[in-house]
Amino acid sequence: MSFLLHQKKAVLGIAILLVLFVLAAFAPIIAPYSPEQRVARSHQPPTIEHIMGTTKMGRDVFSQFVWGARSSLSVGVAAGVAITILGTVIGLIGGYIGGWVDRSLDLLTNAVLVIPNLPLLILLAAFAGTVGPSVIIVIITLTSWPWGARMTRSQTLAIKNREFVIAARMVGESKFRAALVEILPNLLPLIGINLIGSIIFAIVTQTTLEYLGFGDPLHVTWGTMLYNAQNSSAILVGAWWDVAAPCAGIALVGLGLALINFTLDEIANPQLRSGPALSRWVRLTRERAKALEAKR
Amino acid sequence: MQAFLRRTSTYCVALAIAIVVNFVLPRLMPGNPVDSMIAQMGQRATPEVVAALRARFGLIDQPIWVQFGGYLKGLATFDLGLSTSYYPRTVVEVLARPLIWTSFLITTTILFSFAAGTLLGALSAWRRGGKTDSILSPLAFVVNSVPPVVFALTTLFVFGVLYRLAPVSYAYDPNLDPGLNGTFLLSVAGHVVLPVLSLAPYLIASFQSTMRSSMISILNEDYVTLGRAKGLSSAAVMFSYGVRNAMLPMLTHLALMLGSIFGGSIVVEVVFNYPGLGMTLFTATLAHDYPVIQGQLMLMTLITLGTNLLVDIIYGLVDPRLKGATS
Amino acid sequence: MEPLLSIRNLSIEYLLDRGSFEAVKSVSLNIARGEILGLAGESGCGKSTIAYAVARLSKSPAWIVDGQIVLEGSDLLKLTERQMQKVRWRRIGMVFQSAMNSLNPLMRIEGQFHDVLHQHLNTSREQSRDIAQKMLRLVGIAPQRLSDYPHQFSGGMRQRVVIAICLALNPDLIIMDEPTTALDVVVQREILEQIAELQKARGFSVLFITHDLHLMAQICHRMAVMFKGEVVESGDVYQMLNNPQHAYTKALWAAIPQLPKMRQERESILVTPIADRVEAKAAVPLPTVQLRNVTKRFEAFQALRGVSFELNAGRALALVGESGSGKSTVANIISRTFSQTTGDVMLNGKDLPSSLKARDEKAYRKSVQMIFQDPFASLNPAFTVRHHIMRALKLHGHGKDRADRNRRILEILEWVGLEGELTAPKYPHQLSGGQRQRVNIARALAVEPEVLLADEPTSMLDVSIRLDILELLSRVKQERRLAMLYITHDIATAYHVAEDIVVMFAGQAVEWGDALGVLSDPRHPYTKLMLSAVPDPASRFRVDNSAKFLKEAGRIRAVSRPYSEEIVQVGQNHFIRKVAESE
Repeated sequence: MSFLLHQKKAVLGIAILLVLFVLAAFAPIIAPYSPEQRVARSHQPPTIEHIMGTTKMGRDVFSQFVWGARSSLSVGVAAGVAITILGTVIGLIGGYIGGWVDRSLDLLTNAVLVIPNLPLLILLAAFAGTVGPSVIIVIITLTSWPWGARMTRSQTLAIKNREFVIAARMVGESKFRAALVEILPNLLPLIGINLIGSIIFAIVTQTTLEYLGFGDPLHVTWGTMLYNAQNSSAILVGAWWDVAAPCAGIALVGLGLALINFTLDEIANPQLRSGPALSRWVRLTRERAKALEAKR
Repeated sequence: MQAFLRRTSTYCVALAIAIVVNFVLPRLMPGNPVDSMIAQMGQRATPEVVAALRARFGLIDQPIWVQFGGYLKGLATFDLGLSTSYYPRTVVEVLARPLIWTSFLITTTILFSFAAGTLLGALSAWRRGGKTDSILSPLAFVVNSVPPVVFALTTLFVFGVLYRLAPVSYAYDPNLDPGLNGTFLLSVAGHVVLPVLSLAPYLIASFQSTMRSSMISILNEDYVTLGRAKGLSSAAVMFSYGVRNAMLPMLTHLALMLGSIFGGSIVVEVVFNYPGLGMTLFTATLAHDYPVIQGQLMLMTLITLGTNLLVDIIYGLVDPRLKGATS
Repeated sequence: MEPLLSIRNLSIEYLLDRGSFEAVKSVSLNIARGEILGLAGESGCGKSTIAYAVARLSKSPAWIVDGQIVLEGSDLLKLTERQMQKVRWRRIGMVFQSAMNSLNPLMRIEGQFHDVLHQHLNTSREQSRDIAQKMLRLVGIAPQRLSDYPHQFSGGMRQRVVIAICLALNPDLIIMDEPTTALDVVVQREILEQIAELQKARGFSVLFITHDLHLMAQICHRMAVMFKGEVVESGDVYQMLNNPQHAYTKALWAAIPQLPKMRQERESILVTPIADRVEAKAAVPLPTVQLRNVTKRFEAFQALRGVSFELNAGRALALVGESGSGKSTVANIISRTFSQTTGDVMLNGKDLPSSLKARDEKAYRKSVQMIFQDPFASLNPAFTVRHHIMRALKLHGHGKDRADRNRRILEILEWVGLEGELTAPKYPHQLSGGQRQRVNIARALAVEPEVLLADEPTSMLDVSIRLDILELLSRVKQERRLAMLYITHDIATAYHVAEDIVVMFAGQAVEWGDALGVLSDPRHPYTKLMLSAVPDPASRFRVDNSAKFLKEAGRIRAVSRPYSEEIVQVGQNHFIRKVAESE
């Protein structure tokens, strides 16, 4: 964690998320209007009173944005955590125990992985009828754990065969303790990546499902905002703010999380890292090549 | 050979899951989908149609395994049932034409973004630590975290509404008669531009990140250094020693991405009213046309599995190390 | 005479995130035409960094700060990248360390010849093929194999292919960066003899980089020794061998395990006095560990084909063999990583079940401990030295309370030659390789086992500390009365630790018995071959020997491979497996 704070990109990412989370947490205080009430004329462009304009129904877009952040972020985080836990447990168990347990878990993981995710989700959502946030969390979790499980499994396999784990077993540590004390801590960067990736994925998927009309249209989220904007042809009539607000929200969350994930990825795979030393080397090499070229 | 068998059994399990989900879901549903479908069909719901629907959705006095057997038999003969919203057309008939449009859209997008992503990834790995890399690589992470719907709506607004650079709706100009003539093909090409542009960033970013890591690990190999030590030009080392080897994992990645490409195409088709599978799925959900929704999942799963299988075969042909192992 | 290559005041830094580190400090070296210059030193001394700099292939973080690299009058550091491309391979060829990895896996051998020939000589495919065929023949590979891919060759063969590609352009200088380090000793000998012969015939110069001074003495004309980025001594090989000036050079020579030559010398090298050996044998009637006709099969591969030996308290047995001979499989069977396919493994006369239950496993670990090859990987980076040893004590119920265990930790660290108070709170990354290996030994000893398995415990360590670790192992065995299995590919070190020896080849023991007897009077052709291939500074490579050695080595491997039931006793405690064809 302290390493993250030394990286400019990660700090920027954390700052962006912090702002959004504060908005979401204090939505009742921050939002100037109720998100579900008509407070002005329809499709009014941004003004001082309505800094993000109004929707076709004359609702305040900024208030919707703030309330939407609340539900979009909470669903994203909850589903992300659930996906990560499920994926980590399945990957760790399979990778560490091995044998037929691993073979069957791996088979299941890969099988679910190749089934197209969104069509499956749509099918589930279609049969479930109108889906509220908790149903969305459940179905996203049930269909989206394999990526994390796959990553965790291969990393567990790699760590399991590292000599210090074998050495610990040879000294007499039990299998369980070796998994918990020797392997799990080494998986932490990967679990972090998995968590953030899963939150991104959950928010993306939730938004997509709601945009396609599977969400509860009365529940204000960024996804239902898009759905309503689409239904009122906001873009075609030029009411870009109606679409831009939720889009910006989603993009900002993506940006913030991606910046953190980029840094985590460099921690987990140091060979991918391009730190100050490498940049300096590249710069010096290029300068020298130019100087030699010029002399000629 | 053993690896190949294992892969194939994975696909069988995937197919089985899709089949079971399709079969079981309607039977688990709390409400009654048949009634809502029949209500949607109104007058067209003849007694035969109602009976067929009831049979398909388990509202029939038969043991469940007999129902399942009948269901499997239907699948084996490509009988995915009747569409309720497009009655009397069958699901297969309903999905045939959209499949062509979606294939066209997806293939174009994949060709374009695979080439671009691979090249960008290779470049940023080759110039690791340089300016190109330090901008492109984090950018790819960010782009990869933004859903296609955001790109699609932005593209629609900026290029379609604000600057009117390309048509924003449907796959071709509806005033034209479909045919193999220049005007029509040009119209088709023009209509696919914005959907491709909306779908591409996400894919390019994903291919780029994967290619970068793959290429970086290849560039650390001794044979790449040997290529440089041989005095070959940078381009020769980069392509025939670096990219050539780094491409192998990219094939696997491409096959795995296909599922999410389908996901992306659904959204983009809805935004641009593109008459592909996604649009069909969207209208089918509005009309509670469950057979079409189910057929859609079967179709996309089959295509994804087929592509994965194809990639496995190509992999075996391209990588001499695997060829040696199987013979 | 003007040297072919002259490195003048070369300084190279490693750029770090903060500041930099001087890896090469103002080094000057000359290589004459037709000369083999050896560059010796331990890992991290900067020798490879120089090699890469000469071909201007320095990778991040190595940055050439200053100096000149003059190849026949022109400074390579002043050339543009394009000009340098014409020098590479045309004038300076390179052979890298990792034989397995130095050829493009997706390209046929022919293509790997053609791209470089076409680049420099603009040859057609047919012309390239002609040249390639000649070159392959030169290194003893059938020309038909041009259409093969790299994975179809063994490590040694791949290295030959690289050498052949090098020779195709007839360069003035070939840089060889530890070209045989990853290979088995016999293969190493085969390749080096060939290099010596080709060098004599074609007259190119070689910059030969290695950590093995004996090897260097066999092949090089002149040598330079590097220490922490500086050349501390250079000169004629014989002069440096017989009369080294710098203390570091002397230490390097002294650190290399010697094979026994004459009887007196043998006695003096021995760490365990002979008297102890006899006594030890007499005192313990029941072997601690006994293997009887153990075999192991992995799917299609027969790794072991009947191995029997015993380990006795206070004695060590050296298990010697090349990679793939099955020696590590034996260690894994005794440590119960997996179980044998057939045969018996007994601990104190009791048969071991094929899989251990959790409780039995702990009891077994208490008796049998293991030391690993890689001291850097075998300690968990997240824990201190104290924690590592504390776990060993706690798990097996040693020590009354925390204070008592802490006291024991210090005691045991001191015993293995570390400063207890200083070392206990440290993390593995704060220790050197030798120190880590001592911690590993301390951890194993903390369990108070009866049996210690040491799997190549010194192969990843620098030459100068190997003997110290071997000596420590000898002490462990002697003072703690442990039964020890010492596994190694380096037959020369076997003698420094072990009283008994088993030489393995292709999953079977081919010769075994008293280490003294076997090493001084080998009877099995494979043992003889292995011993003859051990680098020996006193015998330089003869330039007409390579084809003969290659053929002989091939013949011996072929006759030693088939499993033979017939065992011949050739000495009081000295046996061989009979080969089909007598010597």
